[in-house]
Amino acid sequence: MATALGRPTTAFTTFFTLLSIRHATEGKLQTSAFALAIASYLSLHPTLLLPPIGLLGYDQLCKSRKPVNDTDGPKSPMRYASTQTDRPKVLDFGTRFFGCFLLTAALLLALSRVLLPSFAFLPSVYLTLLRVPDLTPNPGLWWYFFIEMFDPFRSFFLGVFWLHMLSYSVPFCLRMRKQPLAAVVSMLGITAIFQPYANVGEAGAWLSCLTLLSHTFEVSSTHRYTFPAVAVLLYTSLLGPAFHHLWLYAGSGNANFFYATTLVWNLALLIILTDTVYSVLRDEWEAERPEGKGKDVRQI
Amino acid sequence: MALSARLLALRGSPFLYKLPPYLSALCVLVGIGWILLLPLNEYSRQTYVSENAILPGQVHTYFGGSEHNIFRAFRQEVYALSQQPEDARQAGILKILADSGLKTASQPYAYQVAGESINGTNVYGIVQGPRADATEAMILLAAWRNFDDQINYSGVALALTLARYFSRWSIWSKDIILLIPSDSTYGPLAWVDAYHSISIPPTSSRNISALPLKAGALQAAVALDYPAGPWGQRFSSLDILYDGLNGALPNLDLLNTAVSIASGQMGIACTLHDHATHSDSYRDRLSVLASGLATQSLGHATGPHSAFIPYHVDAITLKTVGDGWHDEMSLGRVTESVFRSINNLLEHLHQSFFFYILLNANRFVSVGNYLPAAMVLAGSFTTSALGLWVLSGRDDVLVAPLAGGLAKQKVEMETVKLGGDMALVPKRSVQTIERELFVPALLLLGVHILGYIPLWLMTSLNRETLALGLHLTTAVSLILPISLATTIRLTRSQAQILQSLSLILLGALLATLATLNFSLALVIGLLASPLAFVRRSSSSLLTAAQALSLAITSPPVAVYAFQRVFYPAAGLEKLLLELAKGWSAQGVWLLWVAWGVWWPAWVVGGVVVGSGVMSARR
Repeated sequence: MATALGRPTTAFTTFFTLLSIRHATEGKLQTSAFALAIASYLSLHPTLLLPPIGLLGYDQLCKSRKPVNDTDGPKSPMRYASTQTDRPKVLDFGTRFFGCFLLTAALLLALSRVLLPSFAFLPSVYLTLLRVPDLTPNPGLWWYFFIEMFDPFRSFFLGVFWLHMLSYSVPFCLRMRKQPLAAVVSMLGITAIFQPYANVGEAGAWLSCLTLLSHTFEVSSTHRYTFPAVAVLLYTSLLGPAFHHLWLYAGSGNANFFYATTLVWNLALLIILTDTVYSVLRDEWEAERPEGKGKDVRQI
Repeated sequence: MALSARLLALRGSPFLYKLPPYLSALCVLVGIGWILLLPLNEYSRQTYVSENAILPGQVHTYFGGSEHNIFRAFRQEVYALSQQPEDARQAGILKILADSGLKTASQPYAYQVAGESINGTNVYGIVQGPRADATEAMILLAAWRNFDDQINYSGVALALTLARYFSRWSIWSKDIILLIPSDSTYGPLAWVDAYHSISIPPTSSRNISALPLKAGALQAAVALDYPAGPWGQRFSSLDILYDGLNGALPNLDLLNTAVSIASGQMGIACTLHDHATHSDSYRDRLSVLASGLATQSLGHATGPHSAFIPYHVDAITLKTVGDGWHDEMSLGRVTESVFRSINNLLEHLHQSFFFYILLNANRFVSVGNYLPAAMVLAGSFTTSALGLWVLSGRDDVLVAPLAGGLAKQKVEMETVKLGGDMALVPKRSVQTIERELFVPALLLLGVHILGYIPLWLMTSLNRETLALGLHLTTAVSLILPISLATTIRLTRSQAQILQSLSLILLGALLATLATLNFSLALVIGLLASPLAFVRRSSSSLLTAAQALSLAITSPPVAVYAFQRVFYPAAGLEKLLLELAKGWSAQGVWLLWVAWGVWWPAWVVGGVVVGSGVMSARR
């Protein structure tokens, strides 16, 4: 609802991202890459979802592919293409997926070039996303840092912030290779929290996507911090606009009030994200060790 | 045992489950007590001028001598104009301003609220500082009719004299705008709204013309309220009004400047909130504090200055009070000195406080000292809500009374280890049951959406039917909780979840409101405090007592009581009309807080109490 009030274009990005995820779950890699390319063309950050969505598509392809030597027929216990020979080749899949992505992106950029007078749109669209020149206050973490930063250090910090965000993509895929959908949803959370032009719409879309992992809701002793995190989200979503108004319109607060509220908002989202990651990993662990069900974790 | 082990042992302890209502009661008592402590010397400070550029009272004011004759002439002119119809009056004032060398313009406006129309025309002129760069402006206001609807003869005359006097000085670094609105509330509102926009599209309730003439960014505004008639009357003290719309306050420096100049340089006593005598005792300080809280929580305009404050333009009104020996020239010199001080500013007043409570003209309480009172009151709701949330996760077997049959059931036991100790406890006491959130959340959302109906009723009905609308709302308020409780059967856990969610929302909203309008949060927090203590109960006596306490502290009853206590002569209809005008024309949020925040929480409290009746009947 807040997204509808703000009318940002991230609604389109979210739509195409979700479309891409959906096609990946159906194993249709071309359409998935196509939708992801459109989403990346609009806002740059869905590119980070390439590894997780690729993994998801590959996983679904494996599941839907029947084994080559299916002599037992429908009664065969081997439902999936589990042997190495039956699986689609990784390199083959990767090349097709990535190639489709690049081709669509190139097509869209070429179309833009045809419609616009020059290539100037490239720096004005993508470099503004990368170099973050617009520091209008938003619920993100970047604007406050970059406002007070000295110019010589700007590129360094820009690099550090982007490196931090990029560095989550592949490790999520590696660790959650058995549950690629969880990797996708976690990566969505990372981009919602850490992207330069953060907004409430992407955070809201990610929170809705958490229901995709509803199988973890039943796992006991997980989701330990939902109530405090949601209560904090409630408080910060009320205090954020209040302090924004006090700072910019009433002139009686300053940026620190608003940024502190933003920090707490992102902290609450981060707690939900880490809780989700914990529940996904715990679910995996309990599948291997059923006797551990319900036991609390202890730090040793 | 280690501390962490002790804390873990508390997890199942029944003491913690019983604690929240007592904590909430403590929070409410602390909140009330906090306010009562504020008038003491330890919690308040003397006022001081923070901005060094102001230099209050350092200039010699030359307003006097022959200006007095000019003033008397203008006062007779104003009296003559007041006998004429409105068009002639405005033309007359425009001519006087134009003759003094000001650039003049006028702005008609019209508001339509509750079937009543409020019309008028603002007349204004601009003194352009000959050496100024026209980027900033100060405003001198003198409404034609003051807040008590008397004609502001001497105020307007003084403003006209000062305009002529100011236009002869070349020291001004900012332009001076002289504004003469038709009334004290809607005229300045229309003017300042139009000043800060290119054009305001007309709506069904508002039609404001654009301003043909504008100056730079507004820095400060001073309004004069001196309704003495054509032969004049001396006054004894100045009452300073400083409340803005929605509880916003001007920078304290502007008040300190005016008080310092009036009482220091000119020797005129300054009072607040119509307290003509102030002996600086605890009682008087508490009285001024309470008046300040009342006007701030209502958030309605208290004078011509109120409309400017939401636009970050500091503004005050100087109102003459009583019968003494100060005359119009003293007031004129005070105004001149204040304008000379504002003239010195290089930027908006920002050094001093924006959030304060005044105990007298020289004593204030800063925000760090009074804000915790409202926060603690909001905390009482949050504490109860957290307690209820935890209770809602407990299993029914622990809550049901121990019957003989229980001993015969096989109770599953489980060992609980803490360090080296072990205990055998019923398994169900350490597990949490799954909470059914859907029905309570939906009910909460539905009740909050329903809150827009009383809001619409109270703001859109015609004047004659407003009182009927309030009676209708009262009737619905009494019936709605019971009907909801009977149609939607809630289990114990669901009722606790519903109340918990409602109280969390109320606590969060009141805490946020306290940062914007402290007094409103305090008042609503006090009136809604029974909501933290009502519980679903199967005893009909307790339910009846809770229902009675809820009915006494309900929003509609609060409106009736407010009218009876504070405006007994005006009548319910007039009060409701003023509230409706506040919402529609002035943009005051009071009605939304009452009907959109407090009333839904109250209805939910009623539903929870009602569900106790239903559970007992089962």
